[in-house]
Amino acid sequence: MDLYLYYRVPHALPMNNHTYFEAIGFWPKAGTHTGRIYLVGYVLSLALTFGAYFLTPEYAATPIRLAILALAFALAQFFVQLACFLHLSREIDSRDKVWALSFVLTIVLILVVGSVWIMQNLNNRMMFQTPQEMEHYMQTQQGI
Amino acid sequence: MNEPALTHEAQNEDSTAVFGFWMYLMSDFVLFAGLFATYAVFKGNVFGGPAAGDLFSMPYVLVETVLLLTSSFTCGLALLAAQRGSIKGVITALSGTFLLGVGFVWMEIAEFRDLILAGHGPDQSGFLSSYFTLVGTHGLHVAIGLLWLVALAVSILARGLGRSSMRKLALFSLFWHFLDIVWIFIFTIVYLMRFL
Repeated sequence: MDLYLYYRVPHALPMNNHTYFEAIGFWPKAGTHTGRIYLVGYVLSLALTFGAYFLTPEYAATPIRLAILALAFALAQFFVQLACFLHLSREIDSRDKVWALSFVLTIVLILVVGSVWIMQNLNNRMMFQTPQEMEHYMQTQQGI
Repeated sequence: MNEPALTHEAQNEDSTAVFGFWMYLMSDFVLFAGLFATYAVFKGNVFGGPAAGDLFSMPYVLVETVLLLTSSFTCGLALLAAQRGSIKGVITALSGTFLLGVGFVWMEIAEFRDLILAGHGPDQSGFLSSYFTLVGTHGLHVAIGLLWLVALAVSILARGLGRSSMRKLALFSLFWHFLDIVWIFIFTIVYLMRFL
């Protein structure tokens, strides 16, 4: 009955809790088994967590490879949780959130990658100097 | 439910509230990005003290992770109970979320306490400063979320599952899931990658 009204009376929906989350665009449209989605998300996240925990030491010979593998698990779990817990999808209601998220992820990437890159670069350039040479360098270069 | 019809305006208001809160969470991502960047830069600055690889107990962190992840799941269960209109179900699920969250914060405080008592507090080195700041900020978010959770549960018990309670549940669940997502990255970057 509720669904009947929902699709035929666009301006006044019955406020019972059953359709609230769909009505405000928070959950996927009625008919998708949200409970199942939460369960799938939970199990997948657990699997990815344990996978990262147990598999990374075994399959990663060097720390760099371990980092890449661990980050791959992390990104996978990130997207699983975005889809299953935060209900991000291709539906219209999700789109503004996805746009905002994409923008912020770009900023985050720039921040983190940029900082690490710059500091690595600085460290590499300064590595061969003793503190005395550093003093001397800064004085002659006037701190620039 | 003998609630008045949820008008188009009410729909819009509530979905706007959700989106506004989403924007706050996005800004929180940027905050954590800064803290992650700082940690990445300072990770090697151990000042002669212990490095990441020397300090962290992985089984302990795994338990913390499972606690927080499960609390995220029970939060979803709370929303499902709210959809059914069952106040009892909502309070049960929220209590589960609360207990698991308290467990997480407890373990984190214990970890911090042990580190500080062993002399490896945030004042010992740049690495430790950035570690305590990053993980501590996340823990603080969780603790404040727990306070919010208590207030939310009390509000639902007092006023029932009307429109405002439903909206508050939605906003809280966004916050709680966001915290678990940030923890995924802390778990990976701070703990799994501790030998990097």
